[in-house]
Amino acid sequence: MRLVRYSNLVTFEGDFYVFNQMNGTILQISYDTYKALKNQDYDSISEEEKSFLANRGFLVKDTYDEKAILDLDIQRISHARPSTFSLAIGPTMSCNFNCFYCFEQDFRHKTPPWRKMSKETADQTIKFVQNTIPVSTPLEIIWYGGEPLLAPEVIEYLGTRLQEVGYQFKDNETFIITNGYYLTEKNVKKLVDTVKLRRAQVTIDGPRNIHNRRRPLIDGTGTYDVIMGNVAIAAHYLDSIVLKINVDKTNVEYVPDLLDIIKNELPSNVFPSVDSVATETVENPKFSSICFTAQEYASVYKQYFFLRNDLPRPSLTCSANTESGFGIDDEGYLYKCWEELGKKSVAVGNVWEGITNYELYKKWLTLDTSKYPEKCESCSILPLCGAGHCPNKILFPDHYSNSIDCIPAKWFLEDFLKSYIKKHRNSIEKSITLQRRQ
Amino acid sequence: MRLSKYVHVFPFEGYYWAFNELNANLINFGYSDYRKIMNNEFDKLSPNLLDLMKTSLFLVSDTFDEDAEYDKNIQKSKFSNVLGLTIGVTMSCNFNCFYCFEQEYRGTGKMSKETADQIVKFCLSRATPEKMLSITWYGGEPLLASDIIEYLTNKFREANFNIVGSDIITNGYLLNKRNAELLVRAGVTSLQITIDGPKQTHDKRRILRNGAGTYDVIVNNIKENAHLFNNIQLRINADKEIIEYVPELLEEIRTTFPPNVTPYLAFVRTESVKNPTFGEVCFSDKEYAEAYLDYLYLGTQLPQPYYGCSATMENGWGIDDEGYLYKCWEDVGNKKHAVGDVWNGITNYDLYKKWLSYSTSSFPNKCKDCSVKVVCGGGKCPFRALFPDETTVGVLCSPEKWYMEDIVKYWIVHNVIPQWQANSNVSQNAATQATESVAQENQKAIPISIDLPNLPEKENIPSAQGNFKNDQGSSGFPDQKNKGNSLFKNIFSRFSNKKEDEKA
Repeated sequence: MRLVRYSNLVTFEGDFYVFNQMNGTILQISYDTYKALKNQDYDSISEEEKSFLANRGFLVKDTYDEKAILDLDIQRISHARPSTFSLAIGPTMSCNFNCFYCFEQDFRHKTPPWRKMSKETADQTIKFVQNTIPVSTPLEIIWYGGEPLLAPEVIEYLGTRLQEVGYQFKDNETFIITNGYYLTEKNVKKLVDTVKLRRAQVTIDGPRNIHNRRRPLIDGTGTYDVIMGNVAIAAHYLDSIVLKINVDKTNVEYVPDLLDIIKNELPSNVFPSVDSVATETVENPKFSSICFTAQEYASVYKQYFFLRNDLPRPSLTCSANTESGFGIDDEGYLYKCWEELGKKSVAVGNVWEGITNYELYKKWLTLDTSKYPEKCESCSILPLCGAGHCPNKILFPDHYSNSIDCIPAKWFLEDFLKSYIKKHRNSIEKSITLQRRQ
Repeated sequence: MRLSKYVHVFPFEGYYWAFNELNANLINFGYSDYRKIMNNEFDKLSPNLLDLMKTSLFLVSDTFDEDAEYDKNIQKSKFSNVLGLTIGVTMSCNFNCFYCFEQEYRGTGKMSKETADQIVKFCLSRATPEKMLSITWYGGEPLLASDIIEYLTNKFREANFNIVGSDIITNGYLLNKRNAELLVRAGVTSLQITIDGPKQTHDKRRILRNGAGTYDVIVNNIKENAHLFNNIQLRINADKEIIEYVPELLEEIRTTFPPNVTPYLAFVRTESVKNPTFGEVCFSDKEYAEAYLDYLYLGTQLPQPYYGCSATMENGWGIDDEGYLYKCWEDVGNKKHAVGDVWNGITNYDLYKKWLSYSTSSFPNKCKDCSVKVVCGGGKCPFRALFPDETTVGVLCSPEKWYMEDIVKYWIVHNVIPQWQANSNVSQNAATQATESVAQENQKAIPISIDLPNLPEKENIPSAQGNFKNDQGSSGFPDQKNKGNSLFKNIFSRFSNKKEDEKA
């Protein structure tokens, strides 16, 4: 018997903890147990404590093979009959914004009149869904684009039709990723009523001046005031709105200001979230000089980890490497990775014929840890990072110019765990020995 | 658009028929539709027929990859909420059959209560929240340790497992009233017992350790206790020595036993028999196919896609009397092939993962362009496909390889034609009528087909029963067969008809 390979022993203000990356759980333990785990002196742990730790996956048999377990998990997630089926649908690939860092630059439609999914394509999309997904499987739909709210009537039509033919949405809710410009009261109300919209993600890149420079309309007009006004009202109709802050070296210093504004001006169900800007498709030669490296970004992320309420989770798969996920663009092309929506060269099929590029489709389903780059081989946070959270980069290294990036936990996992412990100290489960002591 | 490469089209009884291996769907149509299909004039088909043929994958897009579609279902079948156990409660046996594949690892002891308790713990560690369990009691001869069957069943019940299936593979010698009642208490509903021909052949082949015959005892046991169970499958191990006696045996079975006792032919070809004369009495796969064709009437099932067996499933486990874990249940007791034990869980992950890697890419080269690949599944034995260096038998082809059409035609004669005759209002030859009934059927069928793209929506159950390595047949005289799943007219079978087995 031994401590599971991907685990961390943490001390925080006189208490002792162990974190299990294989299942993302944390446990408070006694000093004796802490010492025993640290010194691999497992015999000194009481039988009761041992079996408590074993039941939660902290102690495993000597022959336990963590990577084999992860691979079997990936295989199961990729192939087993899913509890939900995920669809990222772009009702339009047009966008009214012109963000310099957009990764859709090469395959986005940029000028009005906006091109939208036709009724014919929408009807065929419904048919495709019916032929592909058992009606008893709840759908996890992400409305995406382009800017999906340039085509709210398509969202309404597709969402309504899917419900009419019998589909349910996962957790009875729908999620939209939008720039927020048309997240108007009228649109929100309509989508709440017709397609069960409950959550949205909107991007704000800084205070007014910074945001307006980075995320303007196509004609260059700023968008900050419209978005902030919309979010403030839309939040009342929705369960939550995530405000994504895309940072690079040029706007990172304004994040504290922005957080302050968000706290003061927006309802409490609007949650800011810091993310880094780094995309493959931006041709601008200056672009790479303003992007953070993975390690630089980790330092930024560390400062804003307090915004998060959750523990790091194992992250090995995404909808793209399972049989239960598709992206669909406005012309009815099918993709595995939904960041590729609109990029027809990597489409795996279309809603008329189903899968047409089986070679590509099958390759998406071949993910396992043996495909990870060498640097991951002995990485101590492998289950949390899953080689950069991106099966696309792992499986198709030639599609990418930049390499697989490590996640911030690579450098700061212990800090993140401590930050979590500080916030949730009273709700963390205690080991049986500690429970007995109380 | 084109016909899928696993669709078989043939004329029969005044119609043209198409059978699709990928989903065991069967449709029929008239000559004019046949011409359109063969001339690739699909757009000239009626919209209903065209739609039906597209949704049930008779017609596929030019880029469609049949093997990828088949692989998808193989992969999906590996994962189930049901824990499938084949438990050898003892590895000892009171019989001494010359062809036994357990000859080298038959033991003497039986499972201790300590091991049984640990099996329950192991299952708790593997179970999903639904805690569903399907058990095949196995050995050795499991009825030599019937107390353990009862003990373990009670332990599973105490631990709140939901036992969705329980059956037993026994030689039948100890199926006396006391044991039969014990099995009923333990929730066993289905039995498999081997009878190798009438008394004169059976008593030569399936003998007690002291050489005495066993026929009379077994027959008497079955007669007295069959009514306690849903079904007793009588396995007849077919080889050259036995085959001529089979008609006689079948007649005896029909007249002696109640109708829930159903015979079937199985293929004797075992990996571990060292007896040099053994090979001579065994059928080759082709010879077996011919015998199989003669006895189609024992089981009129349409050929089904083969997705693997309990060994290739994540939660299919063979467990021996000492608590060792195996993937293939024929390995139970053969510790060299254990993947772990109930105390330590999986210990040999490489071997375990190898079993889970079963797919069309593990099939041998000869399967590459085979037209019955999907129903044969690389020889209906993942062991032979995955471990080519270890099999002495090699990958054997299924009877469909030679007789696909005959098998489907047989099914048509016994399942479709009688329905037509029962529905005298349906004219026999009007193509328009056929199309209309497609339309009617379609209206009913579409919601079903949505729910069932290509795989039955039912839970996969890793079950040893019905996945016998050497078993290529199914059981049941035609007149006892449940015809409930043959939908009327143009689409006859949208479901895999495993249902009955699973219920049992």
